[in-house]
Parts: sequence; C-alpha cells; structure tokens
Amino acid sequence: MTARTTGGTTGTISRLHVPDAIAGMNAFAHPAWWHALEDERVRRDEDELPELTVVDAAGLPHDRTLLVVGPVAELLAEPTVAALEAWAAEVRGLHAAAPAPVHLAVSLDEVTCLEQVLTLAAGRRWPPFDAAAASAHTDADPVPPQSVPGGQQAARRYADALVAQVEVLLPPAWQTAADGAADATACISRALDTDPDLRPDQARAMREACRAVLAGLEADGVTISGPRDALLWPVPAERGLIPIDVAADAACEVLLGMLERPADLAPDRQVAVPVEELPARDLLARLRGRR
Amino acid sequence: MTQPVVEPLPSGTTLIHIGPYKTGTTAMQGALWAARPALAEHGVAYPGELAHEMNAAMAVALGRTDPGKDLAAFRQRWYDLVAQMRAARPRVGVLSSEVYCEATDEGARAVLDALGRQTHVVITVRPIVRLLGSQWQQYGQNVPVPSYAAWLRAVLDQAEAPDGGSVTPSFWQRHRHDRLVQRWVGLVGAERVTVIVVDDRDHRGLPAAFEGLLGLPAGLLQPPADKTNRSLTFPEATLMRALVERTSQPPWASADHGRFVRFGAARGLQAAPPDPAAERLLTPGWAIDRALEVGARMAEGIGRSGARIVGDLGLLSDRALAPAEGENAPVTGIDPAAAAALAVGVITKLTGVHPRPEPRELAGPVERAVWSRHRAVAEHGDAERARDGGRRAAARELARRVRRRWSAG
Repeated sequence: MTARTTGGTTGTISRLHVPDAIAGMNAFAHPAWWHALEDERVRRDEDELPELTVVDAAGLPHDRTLLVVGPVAELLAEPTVAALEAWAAEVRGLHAAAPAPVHLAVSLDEVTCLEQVLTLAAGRRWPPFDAAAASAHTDADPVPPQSVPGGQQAARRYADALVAQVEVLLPPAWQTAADGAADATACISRALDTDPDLRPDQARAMREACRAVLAGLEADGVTISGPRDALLWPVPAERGLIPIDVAADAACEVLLGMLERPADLAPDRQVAVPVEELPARDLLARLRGRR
Repeated sequence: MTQPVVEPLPSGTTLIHIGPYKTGTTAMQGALWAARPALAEHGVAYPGELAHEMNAAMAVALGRTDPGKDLAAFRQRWYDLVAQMRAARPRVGVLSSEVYCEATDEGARAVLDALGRQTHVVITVRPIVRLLGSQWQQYGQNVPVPSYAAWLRAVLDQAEAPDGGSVTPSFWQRHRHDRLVQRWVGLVGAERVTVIVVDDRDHRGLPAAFEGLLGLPAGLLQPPADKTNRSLTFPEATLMRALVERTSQPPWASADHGRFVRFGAARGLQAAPPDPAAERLLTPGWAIDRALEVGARMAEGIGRSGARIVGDLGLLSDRALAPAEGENAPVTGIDPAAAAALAVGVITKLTGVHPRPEPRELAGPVERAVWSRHRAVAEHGDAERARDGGRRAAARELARRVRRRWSAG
C-alpha cells in the first residue's frame, strides 16, 4: 500500500492486482481490454509481472488480488467434486502466490468498465446504489413483479407470493424493498435447476460440496463478495417445493445485498463494511454439510 | 364453562403479571392495552406506549436489553412507566411482562422496591406438555437449537437440574412453575401471590380471572385475535432453524440478527397463513409421558406454596390436554409461499429502518448500510425540494418585477 498526499490530506492508494483471464475467472481481463481503457491508474509490466494488471485503487484498505467469477457451472469443466476441487486448488494457488490476498467477487454481469472492477474489488455490488433513481419512488409505489425464467413454477410462485406480501414501511425505502425482492427471487431462480446435468441426490451433494469448498477458501483467507449463492450448485425443486436450504440462502442474500449495496453519503460518513468483515467465512463454515 | 369467582385486589394494589412465557401473556397484554380507556374509567392503569414494554422490563429485571437497544434508556423508561402509573393514582395499577419471570435477584428486588409493599404478583401457568413445542419454536427463532426430538430428550432429562441444565437452560428457569411460584412467595409472601391455571379449552378463563382480580365487569377484557404469534408448521420451523444457523452468530452482528431475523423473518412466517398441507409439529409419546410426570410434580409444589390458586392444578398433568402425538419425518422442502414469507419478513423489516440524521449507535452493519440508503434518498429529496423552492421563488420575483415595470410603464 502506498501513502500519498493529495490536496492537503493524506490518503491511501492500494494496489489492485488483476490476473488475466484464467480458469473461467476474470473473463474480461485481457491486455487489449485494459489498453482500451486508456486510464492512468492502470499499469502493466509484461517483464516484471506478466499476465497481471495493477490498478491504483483509492479507497481499498489493503492491496488485493481480484478474481471475478460467474456461476459455478461456468467455472467447472464438468459437474464433479473433482472439478470443483481443482478449481478451488487454482484459487488457493493464486492466493498463495499472488502479491496480495485474493478477493473473489461473484458477478453475474459482464465487466465493462474500470469503475465496475473497482466496485467489485471493494466488496460492493454493481451497479452501486443510486439515490436519485431511488428517490423517484415512494412507499405508495408497488414493488415491481419479478421476472423468472419460464419453466420455474416454484420460483414463479415464490416471486408472486413475495411481491404480494412485501410492505414498504417508510417513504425512502421503496428501493430497499425492490432490491430485496429482486435479490431473493434471483437467488431462488439461480438455485433451482430446470435442466439438470445431475440426479437430484447428486446435485444436492454437489451443492454441499460447493459450500464446503467456499468455507475452506475463506478459512484460508480468501474473501468473497457478491451473490455467493451462485457458487453453489443448483438443485431441482422438490415436487413443487423450494428446498429449505435454498429458501434460507435467499433470505441471507437479501441481507447481504443490502450490506454490499450501501449509499455513499460523504467521505466522512462511510458506512461500507470492509470486505474482510463481511459475514461470509463463519457463515459458510457453519453451513458445511448441513441440509 | 364456569368462570371462577375471584376476589378483587384491594384498592391501592399494583398487580404485576410475571408470565411466564407462553402462558397467555401476549393475549392479556393485548387485552389490557386495547381496553385502556375503559380500564381508566374503572380506576385501573396500564401504563406504557406499547402493549408489552418488554425492553423496559428487561432492563430493570434482567439488567440487559435486546441487542441494539440502549440499556440505560430502557431502565429509565421502566421507572418512567412506574411514575406514570403512580401519577394516575389508580385503584389498581398493572404491569405485565413475561421477562419478570427470569428476573435476577437484584432485578426482582429493584422491581419490588419500586412498586412498593402493596404489590400483588400474578403468575399464569399452563401444562408443561403444551409448552414444549411452542418453546422449542421460540428458541429456534432466536438461537441455534437441536432437532425437536433431540431438544426434548435433553430438556426433559434436565427437569430437576437446579440451574435448568445445559441445553436452553432458560426453559426450566421459566417453566419450573413450582419453583417460580415458590421464589415469588418467598419474595412477597404467599398472600400476595395468585396463580392462574390456564385452560386452553376455555378462551374466556384467563381474561375472566384478570377481570375478577381487577374488579372489572365481565367481558371487558377481550384478547385480540393474534395472527402474528401463531405456531409454525414443521417445515416452517425447520426453515427458521436453517436461517438462524446462518445469522445468529458472529460475524453477523447480534443486533442485525435480532432486528431482521428474529423480529423480521420469524414474524414474516407467522404473518402468512400456514400451508394447510404442511405437517404440524408432533410430540413423541415418551416426551408427553415425561412432561405429564413433571407437570404432576409441579402441581404438588404449587399447591404446597400457599399461593392463591385460580383454576385446576390437575390440568398440569391431564393427558387430555397433550398436543398432537407422533414424530415428524425430516423435511427438506417448503411451500414457495412460506419460503417467500421468510424473505418478506426480512425485507419489510429492512424498509422500516428510519432515515434519521445519523444511524443508531447500536445498529449492526446491515442496518447501517440500509440506513445509508434511506438517508441518501431523504437527503436527495430535501435537496430537490430546496432547489425547486429556489426556482419557484426566483420565478415569483421575476413575475413581481415584470408586473412593477408594466404598472410603472
């Protein structure tokens, strides 16, 4: 970390290390993508640190190595515990060898700009909370219907019941209700597999293996943010019912979505929680092997 | 059903209803709260701004509050409630909170010292066999608990443990009703303790007993229909346990867990109608037998205490009052509407975070993040209104100048 004096105040600039695309992670990160940004915060040194981009990141408390990942199915060559463990070994290897600890940011959207990279590296979600857009609504506005892919009847029933029941208790809280409804529904939808590659018992075992692997990574010091339930293997609905662990994951995702999507009020009124303090490690450890 | 004849308490008495939990306290607090104007007409005061001033009672009786609440402020609030009650100079004042049943020695002394010598303690008791399921559910909404069968075995094995045992020790601290009665008889004397035996088959029995003690006309106290405190189905209880496993311990802040899970998710489940197809919680036969044995021992102890008894102590060991018998098969799935209700409880509670100028000092990280969002929206709205106000003022000034120029011309 480098201490710099800017404009009469002492600020800190941390270094964000972003490996080039590897093993299904950092799919956006290619030399040409970085070059096209033409941003002075971005540096590459092919001789000293090949296949790595360094970004000066104001606001990050520590140097960090960023791995942006999508859903678990996109990370694994095949839906097996062996493939899962191979991926985890890859992450663990990077964590051990990288110049700074690895932060695993789950993002289901394509990375398209540097601000998005920096936001994800800070343990926040993209896009950030937009107070202006949120203030266009009040508690009198209904929470919008949630979209669910066709064929997911259980998720559809979940989303409809949720939207019908949510109350917005205070005028500035409409966006909170809308985000909560969207996060919960998306979590349920992600978790329910309508075109499974695995038998139901295999899928459930794979989901538990994913929990255990994430808990292991966190125990090793890897931090995780974003909709981390996407790193758990999807399972089928149970005769029209939602699996209980999936329903609990969705309620947690509502809380995590709020934690990772705060508003920036002013530099002296920070409320963001450092990613090291996000409630993931112990959470995942407790979930290991549970159903 | 015949209502018991209860002699009214003497004028100048303060009635303190100490529960314990799950013995009709919420119903009585609701009935007293709803009837406050009528109570006042009959010289009865039920002070406070809530039907159940739980945190104020906790602060004094237990020396703690729920996470995220200010202990000193709630302790002062309790003394303010007592002062408010005194100021009304009622014929009978009433305080009701189940948390008094867990009062520390110091807390019980503080409560009784503040209320004075004319205090009368009311304890409501129900058959222990009917409390097992609801208390397991209640614990499961707050802290990680074993499965119902494992919890029953542990709890019923430790019924005689002096400190309540090692698994949810507060269960026996609350529900060895004989010990509870004997303790308060020791504190205030048998003549100042009344035990009301609640018969769940007689919905007027408990309010009628209170009406008798308070010298009120029959039928004045009407417990509200309480849909927010219903028992959970077995799948709902299993889901709640799964969520509590995740959020009840660090690194999740206890303040966030309390606000958004215990009082959010759980309330969301209870507020939704139960899935009629879902299995209710079943109590194994061996546990029913053991609980009835404990109930019989408790009835003997209460009978020996010398306290006034309203109702039939035989109910505490009456098999006819046992809950549904059986053992639930494990469940892994839940009705989508119930799953949604869990998230609804969390979301609705999140939307209640007030955009005050600064976050609550004791707020957890989730509450702080949500506060920042609501505060940002409120500040953005204020700024827009100020801008709009400025524009309107400028337009008014321009119009005034144009009118002046026209009239001068």
